[in-house]
Amino acid sequence: MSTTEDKTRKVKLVTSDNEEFEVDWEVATRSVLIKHMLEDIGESEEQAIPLPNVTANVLKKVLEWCEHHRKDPEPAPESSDDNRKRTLEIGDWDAKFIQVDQEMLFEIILAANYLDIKALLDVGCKTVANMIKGKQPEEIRKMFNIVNDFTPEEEAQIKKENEWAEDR
Amino acid sequence: MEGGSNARIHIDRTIEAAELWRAGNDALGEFWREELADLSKYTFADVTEANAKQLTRRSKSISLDVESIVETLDALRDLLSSDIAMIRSSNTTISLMCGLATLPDELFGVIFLYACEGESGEVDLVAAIRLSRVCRRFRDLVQSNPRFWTTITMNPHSTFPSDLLSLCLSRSKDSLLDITPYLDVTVQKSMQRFAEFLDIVTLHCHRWRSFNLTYHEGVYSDSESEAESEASAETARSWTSDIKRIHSLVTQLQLPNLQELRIMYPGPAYTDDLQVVPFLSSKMPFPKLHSATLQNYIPIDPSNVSASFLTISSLDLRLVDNELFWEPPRLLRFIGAFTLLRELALTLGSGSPGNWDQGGGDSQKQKVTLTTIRTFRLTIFQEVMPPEVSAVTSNLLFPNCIELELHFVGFHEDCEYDDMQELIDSDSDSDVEDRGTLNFRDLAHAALGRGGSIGAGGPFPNAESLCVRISTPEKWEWLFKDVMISLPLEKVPSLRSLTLRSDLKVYINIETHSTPYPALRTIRLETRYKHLKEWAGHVARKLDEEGEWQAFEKFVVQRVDGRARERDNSGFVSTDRIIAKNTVLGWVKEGR
Repeated sequence: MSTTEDKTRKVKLVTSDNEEFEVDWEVATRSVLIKHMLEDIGESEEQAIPLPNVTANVLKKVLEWCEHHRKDPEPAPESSDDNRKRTLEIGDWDAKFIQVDQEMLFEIILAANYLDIKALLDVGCKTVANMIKGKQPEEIRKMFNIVNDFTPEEEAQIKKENEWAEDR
Repeated sequence: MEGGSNARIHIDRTIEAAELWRAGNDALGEFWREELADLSKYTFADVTEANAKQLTRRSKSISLDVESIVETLDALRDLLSSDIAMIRSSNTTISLMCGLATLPDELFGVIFLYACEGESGEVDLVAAIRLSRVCRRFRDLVQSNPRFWTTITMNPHSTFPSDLLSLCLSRSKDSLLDITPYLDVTVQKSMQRFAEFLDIVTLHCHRWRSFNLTYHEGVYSDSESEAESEASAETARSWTSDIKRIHSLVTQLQLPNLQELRIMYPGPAYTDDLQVVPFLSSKMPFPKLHSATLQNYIPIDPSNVSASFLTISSLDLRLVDNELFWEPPRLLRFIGAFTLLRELALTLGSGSPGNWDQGGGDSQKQKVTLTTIRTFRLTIFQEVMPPEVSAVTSNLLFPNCIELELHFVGFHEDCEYDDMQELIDSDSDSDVEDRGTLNFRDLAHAALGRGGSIGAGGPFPNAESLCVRISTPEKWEWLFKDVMISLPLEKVPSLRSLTLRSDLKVYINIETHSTPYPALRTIRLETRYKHLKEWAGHVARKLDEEGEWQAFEKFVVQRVDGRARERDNSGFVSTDRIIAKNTVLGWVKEGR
């Protein structure tokens, strides 16, 4: 539970390329990783949080997302198998936010995963899923420059499974 | 270009060549510019017989030079354009490839699931198999994740290979399963295949999460032939022994994880046997069952229905081709038997004229009070007659319903054009030949039941939210020049939030003559809202006149085009625009 004091507090973050960012506590703690680290170091305002897996240009983008979503409610706990419904829809602001070049898209996904920002991770994963959804294997290979590395036997086995699937 | 990992274009050399060509900051050379400057000095008065030919020749010459330079540059650009495109595409592919390759397996799993899941959460096995065909890493990821193998489907026209069925059951490990068989009532072997399929999947019945049984009419589905229809019925009759065996098997199944049940008939079931839906009469408890969808089926006697079934929280009842089942008393009895229902969705499709009041007028019917329901969704197709709708809605009471949704649909996808013509209000003076009005006025009144007014009860005394949705299959939209609908809001006296949703491109006329108005707080327009500005202004004025304007909060407008969204599959949603109360009248005038 955050206090009023927390909300006015500033947090220092240091990226892998040694750039320092000073952000509001409320923004920084969208990241569960940072939140836990802050809890560990206690009240020390001067101590910077090192983020060795995130570069400055990616952190800048991630913080832009955190700033926009600073007032969002805490994410719900992991859904169980009982509640499977998911949607590929992305909110309007998030959709514009994630319109970045592919390199940055994957960097954001990796950073969101490392920083434990589930909602941002979802936005990134849904974006990649939308790129894949409905495409034939050859189209996916072409899109990602993936080499077909199956042996002829494996290919035949997969084809057998696929014959039924394509027939539906 | 150099080979190796640091191959670069000889940028310096390219720049040097361009510099040379530019020749001292003048790409075309000094002479050309001087000549151009000199020619520009001549005016109409300077032209004489002596210099006319010479001036024309000099002008043409310089023009030809420029043309040839432009042609050369165009050719050069054409040559380079394919290289430029290739460079850009290569850059994109490399970033994509490297980005994707660096993702950890667990994230691949999340992405693949998003790419393979349907709207209700079931995994599309075909999509999963396609992904597993891309490369070994993809295959290993898909095959090792049990969730991708949890949708077990039986196709009516091809045999699900038993080895693949076993593979799915084994790869799904302990995950819950979605069992989805399709039966074709026109195919003799279909039931036999279903029986064989059930023999295998019932071994895993403790893992069933959902059971979705759909009956198809196969090749005869579009046929009007009585002989063919009779053939389907005959096939279904020949299933009797198999059906009995299946029912006997199913009623004994322990289904501790069954959460969703879906039984869909294309039309009324042909035989008494088919009218007995598996599971509904089971003696075993379904502790987790929470929702059911039934199409064209209402049990004859609800007292024979399993107690587990009657305690579900969500029921979706679709009567879309219901000559046999369109019996309001039977429908009301069935709905009234549920004791813990929180959500009820009811679809009324084509009715059977003349039959709607069977069992006496509604005065003779016992009104059914549904105290537990919080959300009621009613979908009505244009083909249904208003008295048919009234026969149901006027006999249902929803004292605790908070959320109400009315969906008016302009005809079925498979409607016959000639049948539709009779039902469309056509205007002989219309400037749009052969196009009529999609008229939902009477259906809207019927949908909200008889009676009901501010302070006088009605079927929805406590509903705070009403969503009115209007749609028609895209293929029929051209038939209409406009839509007419009434909103008798006095029948929803506690209404605070009203939403209008439609992706139709035609004009929507809304009649709202409620007196007095419920004390609305928000109105949301999810449509081409410019058409509805006049109406919005009218509502604002009415609320003002009745002293409710102080409490009104806002209009929210959202530009929606669901069809476009489906087409591009971008997953993006539209932007809300909030019209503050004090700017509503300005907004109404805006863009008139």
